Amino acid sequence: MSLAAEVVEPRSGERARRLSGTARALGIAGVALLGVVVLAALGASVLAQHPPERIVAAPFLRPSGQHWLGTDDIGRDLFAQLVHGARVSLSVGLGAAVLALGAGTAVALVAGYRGGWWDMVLMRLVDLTLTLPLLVLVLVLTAFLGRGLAVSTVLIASVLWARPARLLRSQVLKVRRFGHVVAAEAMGASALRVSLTHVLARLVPLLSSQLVRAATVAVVVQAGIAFLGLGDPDRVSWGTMLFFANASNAVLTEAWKWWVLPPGLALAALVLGLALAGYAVEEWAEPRLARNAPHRSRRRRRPVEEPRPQAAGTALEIRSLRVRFGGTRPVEAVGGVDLTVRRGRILGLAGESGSGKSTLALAVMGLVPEAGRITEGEIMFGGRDLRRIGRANQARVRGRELALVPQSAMNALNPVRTVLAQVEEAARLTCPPAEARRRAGDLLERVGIDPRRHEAFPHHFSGGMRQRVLIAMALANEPRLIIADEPVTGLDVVNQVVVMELLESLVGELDLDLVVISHELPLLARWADDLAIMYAGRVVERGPVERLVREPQHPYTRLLFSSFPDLEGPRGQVGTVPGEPPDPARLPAGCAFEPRCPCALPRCATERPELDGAEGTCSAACWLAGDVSVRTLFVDPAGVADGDPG
Amino acid sequence: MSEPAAGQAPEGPLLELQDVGVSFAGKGGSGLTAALDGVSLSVARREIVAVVGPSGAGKSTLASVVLGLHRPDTGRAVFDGSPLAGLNRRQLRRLRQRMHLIFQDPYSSLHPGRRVAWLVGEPLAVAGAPRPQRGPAVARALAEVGLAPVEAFLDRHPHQLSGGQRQRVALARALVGRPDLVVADEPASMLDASLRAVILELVRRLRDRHGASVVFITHDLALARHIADRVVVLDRGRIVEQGPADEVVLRPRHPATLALLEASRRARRSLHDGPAPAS
Repeated sequence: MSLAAEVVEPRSGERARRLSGTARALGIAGVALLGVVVLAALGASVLAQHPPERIVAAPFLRPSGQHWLGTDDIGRDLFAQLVHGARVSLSVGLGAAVLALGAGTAVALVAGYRGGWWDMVLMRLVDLTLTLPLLVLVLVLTAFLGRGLAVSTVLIASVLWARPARLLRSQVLKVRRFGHVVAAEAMGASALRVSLTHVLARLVPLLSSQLVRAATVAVVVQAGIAFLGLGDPDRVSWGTMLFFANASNAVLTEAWKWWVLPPGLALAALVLGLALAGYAVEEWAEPRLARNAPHRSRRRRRPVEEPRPQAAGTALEIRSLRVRFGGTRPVEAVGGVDLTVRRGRILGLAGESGSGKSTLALAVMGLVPEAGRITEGEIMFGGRDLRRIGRANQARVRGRELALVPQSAMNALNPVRTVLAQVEEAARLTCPPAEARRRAGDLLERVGIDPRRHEAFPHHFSGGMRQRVLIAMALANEPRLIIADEPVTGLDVVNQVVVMELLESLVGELDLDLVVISHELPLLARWADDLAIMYAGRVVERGPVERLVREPQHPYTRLLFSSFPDLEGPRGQVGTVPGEPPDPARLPAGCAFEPRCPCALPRCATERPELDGAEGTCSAACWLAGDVSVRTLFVDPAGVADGDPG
Repeated sequence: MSEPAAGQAPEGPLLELQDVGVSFAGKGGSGLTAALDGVSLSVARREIVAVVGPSGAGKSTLASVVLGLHRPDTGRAVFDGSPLAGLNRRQLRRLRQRMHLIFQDPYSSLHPGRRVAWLVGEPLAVAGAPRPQRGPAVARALAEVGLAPVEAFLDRHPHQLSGGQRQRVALARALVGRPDLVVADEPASMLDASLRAVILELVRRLRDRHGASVVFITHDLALARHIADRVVVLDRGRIVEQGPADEVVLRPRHPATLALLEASRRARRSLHDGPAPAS
């Protein structure tokens, strides 16, 4: 559940495989080039009026209506050779690629999935093959085994399989730990079934791009062999055309224009076509790549008037902030959020996945993913609007004044560097090297990592300790405000308490302001001073925690509290929020919670309630806010616990 | 289907771990670390047992031993009278078809390239059920987990489902093969709160409707109490306390249980709780 997954994940109804503009354009160009070659190959006998291997005219004829590209040194038609040559290049290219990938995949599956001795032996064979000089080997073997097309195809495949095998094997090693693979094993599926239906399917992206690559190499190698005079003597190919042109010194005369250039261009077109198509295939097979595609955004002129100054006693003021993600189905991930972090207080930001809380944090950090854009609003921090200070200044603020403790402590650390080196690297931003190292050591000690373990690597640490390392990194440049995104998700209760206590003590000790984002509302209710509840991109309720816990106004807040199991009270009673969260691309016109709300009124479907009241007071975006009867509308597990357990 | 070994009463415990020990090469190559140490546990038919403990207590290792995915170094695991260690590959696979593992992360446990009908039918396909039989069973399982109308879901891919729907599909996979034993490894820890109740309800349904036994692994004592008949507390590879759920959670005796309970109290605060304690 990474940030990216949360905000850009396609929702129901959307076709997943949609290429970005660039990939589509390049793909179309590639397919067009390939199309020309394929058409030439298929229609060779129709296109060429002469058989390619037969002497049909005088030698060395210039291009004419009879012979479009003239004739060669013994009087064969060059145009016929060109179109028939396409057949050879295509069949050898595709044939060798399919053979090589077939062998490579089989080796990868057996080595990666079976492991043990199989892996040992097969991978040494791969290494051996990779060390052999490819072209030389093919040439020697061609001379030895014969020059037929089939022989060439098999020979080329026999040197091409090793590279994909190695790449695919490492992918198999990764894929075999995927949840659905382990799940299939756990339900008793056979090794054959697991590797064919579960592992192989996840290799397709790599397979398809490797197939295109192998085909490209095979085409070039085949042309090379033929150019060196070792081509199939019975089949004319582009390589043999070049061989005969070279032998007849065509390059030195005017004849290069119709004898050397056409096969050269044809080869270039085929290779380029394969490469461009490969680019599109790669993205088609791995849709996530499309996220890296450049995003076309119209830069809007900012309003000229000065923002309202930041209120005294506030660390951060977010005003009517909107973040929109473009693409095939535009989504407003943050839809007009007003939120204030008060000095010296901990703000807890709660909400379910997809509610926009992480996007909000990224927007404040100036780190909205490439596909998204802040369309409106102000982010007042340190007396200025972070949206107006420019990218360079934003980068200066990041780390030095504002720091983020990222989600998922598992993945946020570099696995090949010691934790000390990573904290030190962060501290380098504001410290000279010697000082940075000392500070890194101090910080790690402060967050409770034993000095003897500072030189250890992240995988030696438990989840709780990794989270503490991330906190040390966030502290490295003495920021004023820290945003901790899901700091305890995936940790056990004991570590949750340790991490939250650490954060709380740092706030007091270092005079920090802190925002904690979590989907665990009761956790925030325990540790935060102020709470804000997000639903479908908006804050639906906010206020000081004591008020909010005593008297939540929004039905969503109540239901969310009730869906956490209690330690006491009758067994087996855990509440839930009925229904499903709304599709962010099709939010209801009125209150976004209305379809799930047990006490919705008719007006809730059409009119959207807004938060009102000054910051620091309680406020809920609900037409029923303040209405005492709300509480009696649902089963209140806490009430049940207090009252009669029947 | 494998019958209980001769001489075994068919009504004995469904699963028995006898003095199981598992060691791994230590962190940084420093000798062996015991992940499980002398663990003995029996799970009766139609019983829900919660295995509770902090991270690193050996909970997930316990799950892989139960499923025969990991062979213990000492002791043995006995499923329905057959010791897992005595089985060959094929027999072990056959036995696994009577168990089901529910994952911590419902997203990764579904093959992204397959449709719901295939995903839910997979346990049946693995068990060798002929294709015509699978369709109705899949439809029944989907209806049972509340994915209705069933036809609207059969042809969807996982990415076309919401998080809650994906979790329901994962649970339908657990129902469809009528397993005798379901092992759930922290199925609620990564989920939004509103889905927790769904898990709870379906785990109970697995037992009540389908007569399955459930081993529910979690670090959350509160959740364990609501879901399980019996709670087993695991700490550093050893079972330190076990008993009826309310007995263990409301009147804990071992310091490790107390620590977990204390942490659960300190970490959370629900509606109408008093003011947060100063810390």
